[in-house]
Amino acid sequence: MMMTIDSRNHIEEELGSLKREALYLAALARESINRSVWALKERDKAVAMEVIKKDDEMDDLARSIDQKCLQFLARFQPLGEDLRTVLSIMHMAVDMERIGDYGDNIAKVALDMSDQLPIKPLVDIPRMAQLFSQMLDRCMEAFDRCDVETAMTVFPMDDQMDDIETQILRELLFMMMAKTERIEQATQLLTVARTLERSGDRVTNMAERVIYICTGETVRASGFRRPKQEGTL
Amino acid sequence: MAKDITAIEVTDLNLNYGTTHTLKNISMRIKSHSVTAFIGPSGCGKSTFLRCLNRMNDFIPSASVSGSVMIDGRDIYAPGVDVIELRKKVGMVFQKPNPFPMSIYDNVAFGPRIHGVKDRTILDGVVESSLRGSALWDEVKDKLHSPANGLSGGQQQRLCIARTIATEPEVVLMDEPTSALDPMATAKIEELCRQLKEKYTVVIVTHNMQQAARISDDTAFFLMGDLIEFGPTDRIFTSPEDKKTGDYITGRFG
Amino acid sequence: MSRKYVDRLASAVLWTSAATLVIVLLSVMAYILANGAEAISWEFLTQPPRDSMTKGGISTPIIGTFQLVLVSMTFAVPVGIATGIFFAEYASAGIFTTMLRLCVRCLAGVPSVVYGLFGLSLFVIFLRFGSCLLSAGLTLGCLALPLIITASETALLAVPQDFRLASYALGAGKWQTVKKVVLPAAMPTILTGAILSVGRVAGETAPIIFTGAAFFAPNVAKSLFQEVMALPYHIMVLATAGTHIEQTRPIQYGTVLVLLMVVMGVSSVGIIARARLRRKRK
Repeated sequence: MMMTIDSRNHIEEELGSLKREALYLAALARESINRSVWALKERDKAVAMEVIKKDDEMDDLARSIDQKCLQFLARFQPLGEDLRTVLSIMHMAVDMERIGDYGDNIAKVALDMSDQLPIKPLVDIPRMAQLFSQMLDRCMEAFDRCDVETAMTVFPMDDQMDDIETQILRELLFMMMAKTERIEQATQLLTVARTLERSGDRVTNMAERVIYICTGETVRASGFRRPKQEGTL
Repeated sequence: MAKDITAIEVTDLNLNYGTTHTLKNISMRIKSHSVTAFIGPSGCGKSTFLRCLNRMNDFIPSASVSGSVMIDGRDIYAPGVDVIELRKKVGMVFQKPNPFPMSIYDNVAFGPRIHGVKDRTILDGVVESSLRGSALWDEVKDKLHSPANGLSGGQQQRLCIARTIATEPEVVLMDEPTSALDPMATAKIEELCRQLKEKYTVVIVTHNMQQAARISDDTAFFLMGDLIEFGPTDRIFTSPEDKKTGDYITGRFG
Repeated sequence: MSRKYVDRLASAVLWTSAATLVIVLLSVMAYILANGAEAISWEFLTQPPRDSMTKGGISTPIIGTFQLVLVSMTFAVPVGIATGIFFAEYASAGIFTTMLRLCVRCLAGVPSVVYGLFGLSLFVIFLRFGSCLLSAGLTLGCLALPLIITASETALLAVPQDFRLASYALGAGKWQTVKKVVLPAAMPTILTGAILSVGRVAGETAPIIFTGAAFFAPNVAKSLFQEVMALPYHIMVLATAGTHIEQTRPIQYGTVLVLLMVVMGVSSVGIIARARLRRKRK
């Protein structure tokens, strides 16, 4: 009788646990953006505080992922796909941790704005957050299953993010021009839109990383997006 | 040193041991003054291929070779090739350190002597420069005439390298040179490989993928007598093109 | 029967047989030593025999024995090593080689008297050397040849293949490899084998009776074509063919003792050399 030994057992175990932590961090990042935007929309101080508190947990988790990647490299001296995975997880953890910071920023804006009268009901900013969630979900699904095609669908979505941001920018500009006392709040909302757009960029980076893990090729998201239009606001 | 000059050009090399097809249509271009590593699971033909490069397979009566191996613009398998000249030009270091049971000096001087060098001053010079070339001089300069067997394993292997470079080869073949050595001695040999490529073309067979990744410029992956992939080490160990290479370097088989 | 009991029985039997051998050997040696020691003196070792071998010493047989050993080894060592090299390095595997090797093995088992008759017909009669030091030496050489061939072959085959490969990889030819690497590495073992065969040669009687050993020679042989006296034959002569067997008895024991010393001396040199070699290899 033959006894087979799966030489990949140990490495798969460690790699699997790293991946799970990365996915968990992504879920936290997603939550951070969604909750903070919700807090902003609903003027909910408590939720905003909660998001700010959660940011420390994310920082710790990101640091622990970094540490684990380091240990993995030292122990297994991985090559090929394993090496690409670990290296990419290290980069992605930075992106996710940064998204958490963005959520933190938005939550602070939400706290600030909670006592003010809203200049307008928020529609597009929650849409951005929703779109961001979709992007992140697809990116993580692609990461989990090593699915290049799903990862590719993230790139055009970043165009949509940009579109909404431009739209928000335009709308707020008009509002500010109409009434100067709106400027303070409008600027804050502008910052939120910009922050959300950056979160989208981070997810795009992560999708590039996922493709690198799966294929070993470095792709540039810009190659999969529509060409930049000149002269638009 | 000029880079990207071809040192060895192998075209459609086939080798049969009796009825076993051990190497199948191997073609590759080994760059001059570089370290080229051969990796692959046991029995994949990498050592056999290495031995084809200085015709050490000649000693196995049942082996037959077809195809060509061009070194210095000449096919080493063409009729009338002087095998002795070839081996002088393409030296070899073996898996187990195998210094001759004689003094350190005589070991290094062995090659020059059999090639007709008798002048003591010349021999002294060759011995010193070869031992310096293998980073052994400082350790043995005071005991050149004591037996080589008294050296440690790592020193013995460096002595074997000195013995090989004493014949002023162009290519140094190494067949798993560190598999019998401890990590420190291994690290020394690895560093030596890096230095050797300044003057020689180094081809090394190794079981240790990390070693290949550390020291080589190009890497060839062999599997069951086929050359699966050959390319820059930087690419092979990060983003191999062939799935089999990827599976091997991540330990999925082999 | 219990296993334990069988074990005890087996070791008892083996111990007994080993002890018997040692006891026999020791008693023979003790007997010879007891009887021969009184005969040994400076005169005994340095004077030739006198008065129909009833008086005097055994200097001529001692020197004769050394001369025979010298002649036989001068012949057998180079030829034996050369043949060993042939078998170990050059002979290709095949029926011819196998046959040759078998012959050598058989020769080692041929009774020494057959060598004597062979020497008589080849050297003494056919080559017309006559009964002399040369014929006897060559005959003893033939006797030692299979031993030296086998020792050389074994020693050469024991040289690690790595050495040969390393030498070839440096561009050495076959003969260069054999001469400069393999043979030097095997030489100590080969010489040990040769020394051990000296012991055998020095003690043989049968091969030299017909080929060159003298019943009595007043002087040491000065050329290869003179007969010589030799210790083993001298013993035989004293013990069986003399006219004064009773009177020569102490001389007989003394001669036996000297021969025993010579053979044991040579053999122990070989054994010590071999032991030192083994230690060095480790």
